[in-house]
Amino acid sequence: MFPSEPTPDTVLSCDVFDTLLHRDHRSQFRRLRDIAALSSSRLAAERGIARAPGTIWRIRMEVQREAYAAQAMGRPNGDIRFQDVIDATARLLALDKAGGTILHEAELAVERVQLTPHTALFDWLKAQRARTGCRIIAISDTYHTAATISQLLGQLAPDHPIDAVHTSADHDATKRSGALFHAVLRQEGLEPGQMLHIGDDPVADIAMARAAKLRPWRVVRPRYVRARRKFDALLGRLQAIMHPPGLSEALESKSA
Amino acid sequence: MTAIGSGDLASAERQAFGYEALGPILAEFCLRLWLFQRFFADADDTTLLFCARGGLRLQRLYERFLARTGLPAAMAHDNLMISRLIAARTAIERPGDGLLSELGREFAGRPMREVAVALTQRGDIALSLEWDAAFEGERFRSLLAATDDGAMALRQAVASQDASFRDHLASRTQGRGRVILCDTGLYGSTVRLLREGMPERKWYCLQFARANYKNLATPHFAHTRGLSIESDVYLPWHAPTAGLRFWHLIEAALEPDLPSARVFEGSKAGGDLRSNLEVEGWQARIAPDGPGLFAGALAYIDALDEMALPHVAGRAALGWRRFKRAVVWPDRAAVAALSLNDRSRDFGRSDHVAQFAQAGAIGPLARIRDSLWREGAVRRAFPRLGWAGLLVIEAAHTARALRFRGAALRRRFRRETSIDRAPGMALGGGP
Repeated sequence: MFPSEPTPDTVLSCDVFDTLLHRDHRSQFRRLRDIAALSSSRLAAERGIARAPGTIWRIRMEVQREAYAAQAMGRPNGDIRFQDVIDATARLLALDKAGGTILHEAELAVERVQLTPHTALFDWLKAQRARTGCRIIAISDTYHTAATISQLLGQLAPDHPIDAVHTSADHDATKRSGALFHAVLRQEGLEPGQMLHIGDDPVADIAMARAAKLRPWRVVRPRYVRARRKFDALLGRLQAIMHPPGLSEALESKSA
Repeated sequence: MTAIGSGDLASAERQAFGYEALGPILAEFCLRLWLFQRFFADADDTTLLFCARGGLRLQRLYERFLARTGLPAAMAHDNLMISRLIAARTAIERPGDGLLSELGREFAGRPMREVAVALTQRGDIALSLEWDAAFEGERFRSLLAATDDGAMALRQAVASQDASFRDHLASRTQGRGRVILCDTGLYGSTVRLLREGMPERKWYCLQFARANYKNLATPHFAHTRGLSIESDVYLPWHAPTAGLRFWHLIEAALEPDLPSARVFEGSKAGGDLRSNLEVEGWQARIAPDGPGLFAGALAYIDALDEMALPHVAGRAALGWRRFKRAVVWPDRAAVAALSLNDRSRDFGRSDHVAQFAQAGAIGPLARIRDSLWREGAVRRAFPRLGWAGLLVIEAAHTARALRFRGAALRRRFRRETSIDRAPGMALGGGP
């Protein structure tokens, strides 16, 4: 199941999402809808601000789409930052700083609920640490900072053995382009052959790790999980076509 | 824009359509443009340049949108006096595939002398008889490189104009190395030509719509984005792609009554460098010249404020529905309101093409086929039974769109499958 016999000078590197922390079947499409619903109810309850879930969802999707498009065009090796996404979303929702904080917290709350630790992998990592004393790090292509990922790991797997977290948002370099591996090797002071990287993405975690001369090892989610997630995304898209989010709210705001 | 047979009623209807449909659509375009520049890396080294002519009105809308909503612009922006013709000149010294394919499409079957006249905007250069042959890429390349007096004079005339454009560009970018062009669309010839002709700069392009309707190579698409429409074909289930069914309507609303940029006069040193577009009072002519599509859209933007921002996207979706209904399923009133003047073929030429093909030797079906707005032409040709024709057109487009999407899904499936089954990949177990 896992690679055997890492040597003491090997650094074990792990991807985070769908490797250390498993997402459930919900697609990103659905996740953003859940975030919008939670944000909407919290804004109403805590700040007395009425923003319909459909409106929040539509704005959040717009921000993410343009942010990634701009990044892909202007700096394809880099990544966007979560806080920038939240700031822009709050601005377009005409929210103040406290409103932005609610959006921020709602995102992380939904993220947490959707994630479960990959206990078998954590057990194996702890066993390797006990056997060889090797260093274990996490490397993630994500718009979250290392501090946020560390917080999620701490909440979901309190006794995890991860010594350091590196994210594409912090380094402005992604695994998908290979640039993040080089940045981490530099920062950790390692030769590529010393690092064994474990992840689920065939491009970012395997092909690009191999291109950077790391030793990659792939873990995959069961086919039914991936199929269910795709089905969930398809369902979400169909729902959005049938009942476009934000449309009725736009009509109401116009008539008001 | 003025319409054939325009009256007060049609004018009021155009204004209403501009306010209710184009206004929300263009507000969403402005919002996306703001978002894109907000997240674009190295904003300090980048200039957002709105391309003449349609871009000049997009600039007006964008500035008004920011002023009304209070959104801050992180990136410097200005106008750019450019056209495909001016962009083509930058690539003449080393003609590449972009230039030759563009010229080949524009001047198919036309004599190469016509291309020379368009590029130089001069008819007094004595070219050899070989230039009278029909355009052919490689032949054109060798004629350009010839050492006879005519070819040399042609190159000199093009180089002189190109130098003026480069001075104009430098005055707009102020030393910044990256340029984002902002234009109406569709294929993005201008940015493709500039990437070929001025590779020392980094070029990007944001358009209202991006579509490869020319069926040419698209090496520039990785750096070109359609903010409101990004599809090669009309997809009946995606309302914004209805913009492709009557693209000239959007262009006509956005193009001010100004000539296309073709030549520059004066000099940078003399401080009087200006394009032929910059005629007396040109800036005032970017504004609406009375009630109409653009006036309606601008009025909509003027009515926005910060609290309208959350609803921009939702209202744009409604705007697209209205747009689609009027363009894809037009009634007689819509045909009257959305009729356009003849459209310029451009690229340095002065001939025009009519919105609706004229009755003559050709029959009604051929007239519909050759019209810029086929649905409108159907309604005009068959006022009572036009709905049947519209159904046939929609069915044909649905079949085409399904084929298009099917092919795209198959390509995506093959790509994902090949990645998942890459040889030599270590496969571990699940949880």
